[in-house]
This record gives sequence, structure tokens and C-alpha cells, in this order.
Amino acid sequence: MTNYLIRRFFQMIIVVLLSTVAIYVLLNIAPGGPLAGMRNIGDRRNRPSEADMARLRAYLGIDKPIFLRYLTWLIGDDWLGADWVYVSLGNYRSPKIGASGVQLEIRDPNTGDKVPQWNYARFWVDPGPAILNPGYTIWVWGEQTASRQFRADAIQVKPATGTARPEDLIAFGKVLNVVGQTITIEDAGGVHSTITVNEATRYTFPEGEGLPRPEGGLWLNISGLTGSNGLLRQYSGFNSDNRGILRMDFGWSWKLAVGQPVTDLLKSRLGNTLILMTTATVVSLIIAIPIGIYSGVHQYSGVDYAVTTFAFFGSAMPVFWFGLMLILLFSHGFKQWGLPYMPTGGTVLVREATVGSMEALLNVSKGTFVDRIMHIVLPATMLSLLYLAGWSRYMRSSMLEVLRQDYVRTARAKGLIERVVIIKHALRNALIPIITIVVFQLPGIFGGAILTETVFSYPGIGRLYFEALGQSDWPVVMSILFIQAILVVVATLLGDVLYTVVDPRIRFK
Amino acid sequence: MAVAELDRESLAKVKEESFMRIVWTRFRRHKLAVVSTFLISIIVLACTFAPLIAPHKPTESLKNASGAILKNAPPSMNNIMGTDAIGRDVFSRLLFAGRISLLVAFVVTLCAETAGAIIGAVSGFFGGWVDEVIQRIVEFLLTLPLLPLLLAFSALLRGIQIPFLPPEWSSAVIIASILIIFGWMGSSRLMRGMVLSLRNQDFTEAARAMGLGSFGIILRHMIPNALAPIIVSATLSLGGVIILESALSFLGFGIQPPVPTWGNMLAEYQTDMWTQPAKVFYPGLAIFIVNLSFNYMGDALRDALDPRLKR
Repeated sequence: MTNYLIRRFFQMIIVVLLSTVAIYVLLNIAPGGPLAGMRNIGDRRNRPSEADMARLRAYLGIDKPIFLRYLTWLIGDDWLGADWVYVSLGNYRSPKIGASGVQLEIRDPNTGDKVPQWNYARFWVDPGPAILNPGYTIWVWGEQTASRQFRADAIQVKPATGTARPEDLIAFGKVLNVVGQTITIEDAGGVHSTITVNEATRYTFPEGEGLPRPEGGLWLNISGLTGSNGLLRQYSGFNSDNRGILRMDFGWSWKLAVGQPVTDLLKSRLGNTLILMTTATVVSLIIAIPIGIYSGVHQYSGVDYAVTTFAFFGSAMPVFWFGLMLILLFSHGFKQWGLPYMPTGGTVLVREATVGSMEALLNVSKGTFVDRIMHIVLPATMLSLLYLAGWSRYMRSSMLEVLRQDYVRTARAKGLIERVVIIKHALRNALIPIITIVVFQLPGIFGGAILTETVFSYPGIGRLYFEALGQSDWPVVMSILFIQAILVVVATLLGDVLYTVVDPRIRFK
Repeated sequence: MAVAELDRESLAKVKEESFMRIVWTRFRRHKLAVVSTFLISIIVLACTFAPLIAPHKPTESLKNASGAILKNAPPSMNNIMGTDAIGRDVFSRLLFAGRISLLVAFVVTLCAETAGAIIGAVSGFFGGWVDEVIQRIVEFLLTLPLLPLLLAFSALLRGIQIPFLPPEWSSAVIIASILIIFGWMGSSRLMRGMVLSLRNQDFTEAARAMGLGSFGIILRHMIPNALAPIIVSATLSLGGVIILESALSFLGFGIQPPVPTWGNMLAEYQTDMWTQPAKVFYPGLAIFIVNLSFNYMGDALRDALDPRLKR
């Protein structure tokens, strides 16, 4: 089992990486793109010059060669100018998304100024103060908050070779311990002081070689790549604050909300999508499972025919058309006929409900919970129909399959009443395949329903994806696809594992 | 009456041997499938002969007696489904759109199922690393979320102009190609399963003993023997392709106007849904009926072609 999981884990990583490589490369080499058509703007005064275009390309980072763009999209570009990177997962502290990463920089020991120099180390992941091992002698810049208490703006580990101590220090000493955001140090006279650090504190390490290494991590010498003879030498100037998607930095939007972090866009849409998808999933499961069971148990009965026909119709129906028909009937039609009509799109009312609408009838004021529910009814109906059609059929055939099994016959032969046979023996086994359905909904619940959200102008992730694609907003597109790819492989694994848990007959090879 | 006797004799013989006749007899038992076949035939014929049947040109803006463009006309004898916002006859457009939608569906299904069958047969027949590589690719493609990917591909490729083709046809060819690229996995899995079970049968051994090469065995023995489930899956996937294509076109990432398809007609008429509700109804209904019919036909074919059922 452990071996299997480890193998699957590596397979998952490969699958996600491959799919992102494929999509990233395709998105980036395809004609068009975010700057398409800008040189063709009719009004000469608004038309950007070639120099402007070059600046825009540099601003978006699309002037780099494609392999480097993918690499920096993945792991960021703050390491591009460094010779050493410190890689540590053990000390990993989830960095704040959108805030700039903690960087190690060399301060000139004489002036205390930051010196842009080649030979310095940076953290690849942001380990925080935990990187300061007890026993290090540190120099602290910042301000004193109380007696023997300091707030650190910058901390530098004292170089091994004898460098003169800078004069603008507020504190220095040996690290005794690090607890959370507080460091206790001891000076030469044995006096203890507390140093408080925060997200903005910069940590500086002297050159990587010959230094007491922080524990629990790995120093990698990448000067072969970024040094003066390195392969990436010419791109070392490209480094910025971008930390890459693997470090939870999703980049910022190019077009939909220029300069806004993709994370903010996702956050603003995720809630809506979760509400819609969960509602639709739960509602359809609650309906699909009982009717599937019933029509499986009573095969060829009137109800069974009705359910099968309904499922057939539901799965053959183009969902977007069904959505339009719902709008036509319950919003447009009801309004025409003077009946209380439903809202056609959005998540909440923009202004107070108009007289005659369902919301006015129920006295719903805008922005309330009930208001949200009202807006979800139609899209959730549309989605539920789609799921219901598939899932009830699935449940039915699963039930039919189980009812043919020997153990069901045995249960009947024992003289159990039919209800017990069905509920206790058949149903529990018939529900096993349903697990796959529920688990495979996982990526969908995040990704939303592109068609449904489009038809009902519902601001969810699906619609965000659709809009981003239309406007060549690649960071948004890539972020959504990346998260979805991860969810898909996780869901697949979860489904397989759950299967073995509920069905002991299945074993991993 | 020698002729009649001969006829009866040959008929009896045919009845005994013809697989097709057995299939047809079984197929006919599924009443809905027969109705579906009838409906599909009518729709396919009507769309194929659209230039003869359609009362107007699909791109022509009709004018009334005084020469003004006939915008959003209600249904009449001349325009049985009315006209759209720029005066084109909706019924004629529906027929011409059906041509594209159905053609794309047939071409995509044919190519995807054939490619899938061949890939699956190769994968199952050779086994080993060939099988391993192909199965990993299939799994990889099946893991990816379909609609977002189709949208992404279409967003990337729709700008491309294919040489030697009228420019408005480029998008249709590109969409069809994308649907083929992402559509072959199902039939390849089916075929692989069939081939794996057929590989060790006696007739394969016999063919090999008679000196037939690997590809010969695949083409001559494997594919014909495994054809039945492929036909069923093809019939079922026809409907699926129509839905996918129309979904893409509906979202504006599919076949671009002025080439009409049922999907982009829906998208076009969605904008004046409030004033002209009926026009949104027709293209969707066409998709619905065609898809439903293909599903019923596939269902009936599955029963009819099942070798375990004798009569």
C-alpha cells in the first residue's frame, strides 16, 4: 500500500507537470495573445510604438524565452540572480500570497547599505526565523521597543571571517532559541534580549560556502546555472518578486483586472462557485440515489420506465439550451403572464426587487441569504438535471448488478424480509461505485460549470476561466487549469483508495 | 413459378446466414430506436439537400415588398420560423446549420473511432512497452478536464487560417480536429479490451501459423471481430460530439459565424431572447432530437449486436 501510494504520488506529479507544460507552451506560442491587435489601433495617438510594445512585453514577462517563462511561472524568478539557494520543506511557512518574499541580501558591513552582488544566498522557500540555529551570532537592525526588547527589520548572520561589526546595529549576540516570531539572544556579558520579527524582516546570510548551515534544509549551489559561466547567466537580470505557482504565487491578472493578484480574483469567485456546485451536487445526489434504487429494485415497472426515459432525455438535452429554456419560462414567460418571475442571473439583486418578481412577493431584500438562494435556484436546477440524469442511471445499474449477486440470493434464502435484503445487503454494496461519482465531483466543485455560469451570468470560477480565455489572460487561465489538474489527480487517487477501503476485495498490486 | 421458388430458396438461405438480418430483426424490436432512425434519416436528408429544400439562402437578408429588410418577422407561410435580427430566414439557416453540425459530428466520430480502434488494437496486440506507453497517454488525456481544455485549444487555434480552404471553413476544420484529438480514447480502450481477449483465441494462432503478419492479423481478424462494440460507441458518441461542438460554438469558441451551426445559432439568437423567444427554441430542439435519437439508436444497436443474445 505504501509503495503503491508513493508510486502514485510521483505519477501524479508527472501528470500535473506534463499537463501544465503542454498547456503553458501552447498558450504562449499560439498566435494572438494579450497584446494582439494593439499595434493595429486605428487612432495613431493611441497606437503604442515598437518601444512601448517592448516595454509591455517586458512588463508582462513575455520577452523571456519560453522555457524560462515556464520555469519562472512554476518556481518563481527570485533565484535567478543568486548563486546559492536554500531549499527547505521542513521549515516551510506558508508565505503570504501577494506579499514579496523574504530575500537574503548582503549588506555592506561598513555602510550597512544593501549591496547588489553576485555572491549571496537567498532562500528559495521562505523559512522565517526558524532558519536561525541556536549558536549563530546575529546582527540585528531595527528599533528598540522596550528595555532589552527589539523589533528587527533586518537580521544578518555574522560572517565566519572576521568582519568589523557595523556601527548602526541595535543588538547583537548569540541565538539561544527561536520560538515563533521571537528570538532570544545572549550577548557577551550573558544578558538576554528578545527580538521580535515579522513578515517584512529580511534575513541575510553571508556567503553560502563555509558557513554553519541551517538545519533541516539543503543549500544548493546553482552558480553553475546563474554564475558568470552559467546557462542562465544572461537572464539573471530578470529576477523579481515572483515566487512561482509552487510557492503559492499565482501571479497577477493581465487583462481582466490588470495588476490584481490572481488569488484575489479566484477568492472573489470561489465562494459563488462552491455554493452553486455544492447545492447542485447535494440536491442531485439526494434525488438520484433513491430513484436509482427504486427503479433498480423494481426493474421494468412503470416508475423504472419513467426514470429511464427521464434520464435519457436529461442526458441528451444540451444543458445550455435547457438553461435558456428555464430563463424563458420562469423569468421571461412568468413576467409576461403576470406570475412571480425568477431572477435571470447574477448572485444577488442589484437594486431592491421589482414589484411582480418572486423576490418582491417573498419580501426578500437585496444581499440577504434568501436573495442568494433565489439566484441559485435556476442554475442549480439546470446543473442538477444534468447530474441527475447520469447518476440515477448509474445508481440503477449498480443496484441491478448487486441484486444479481450470490450474497443477495443467500440473504433472501435465509428468509430475510425484502426490505432488509435491499437496505442492508444490496444497497450498501451498490453505493460503492457512487463513491467515484462523489469524489470525481471534487474538481468540478472547484472549477464550476462553464456553461451554466455563462448562461446565468453567474460570477463563478467557470465564468472567470471563460472570460480569461477570451481575453488571453494567461495567468488566470493557467492558475485555474493548474488547480484543476491537481484536484483531478488527487480525486482519482482518492477514489481508488476509498474503493479499497469500502471494498476489501480490491487490492493494490 | 420457377422464379418464385428460387427466390424463396435463396431467401431462406439468406435468412439463415445473414448477420445483418438478425441484427435488423432485433433492432426493430426497440420501437423508439426505429422512430429515432426515421427522424434522423429525415433530418439528415433535409440537411444534406438543404440547398434544394431551404426556401431562402441562409445568408440572405430578406426584404419586404417596399424594399426594407424584414427584421424579426413572425412565422408566416414564407418564413415558417420567422426571420432573425438581420432578416435571414431562420428555417433555412437551421437546415444549413444542421449540415455543418451533422457533418462535423460524422467526420469527427468516423476519424476518432477509427483512430481509436487502430491505436487500441495496436496497444492490445503488441502489449509490453507499446501498450504501457499508449495506456499512459490515454489515462493522461482522460484525466484532463475536457471542456476547459477544448476551450483552451480552440482559443489558441481558432485564429489559424488553413491554406487552400475558404477562410470561413478554417474554424470548422480546426474544431473538428480538436474534437478528434480529444475523442479517440474511449474507442481505443474498447478495442484494446476486445483485442486482449481475442489475442489468445485459436483463430489468431491459426492466422499466425498461416504466415499472416501482425498488422494483417489486426486488420483481417481483430478489427472485424471487435467491430460491434465500436459501432455502438460510435453511434452514442455522435450525439456527444454534436453537443460538444454546439457547446463550444455557443460559448463563441467553436465554429465561427457566418458559417451557421446549431450551437452558434443558439448563441446568436440568445441576444434577442427577450423579444424573440421562439428562435432560441429551434436550434436547441434540433440538437436535442438528434442527440436523443442517436442515443436510442445506440441503445438498440447495443442489444442487437450483442452476440450473447441469440434471437
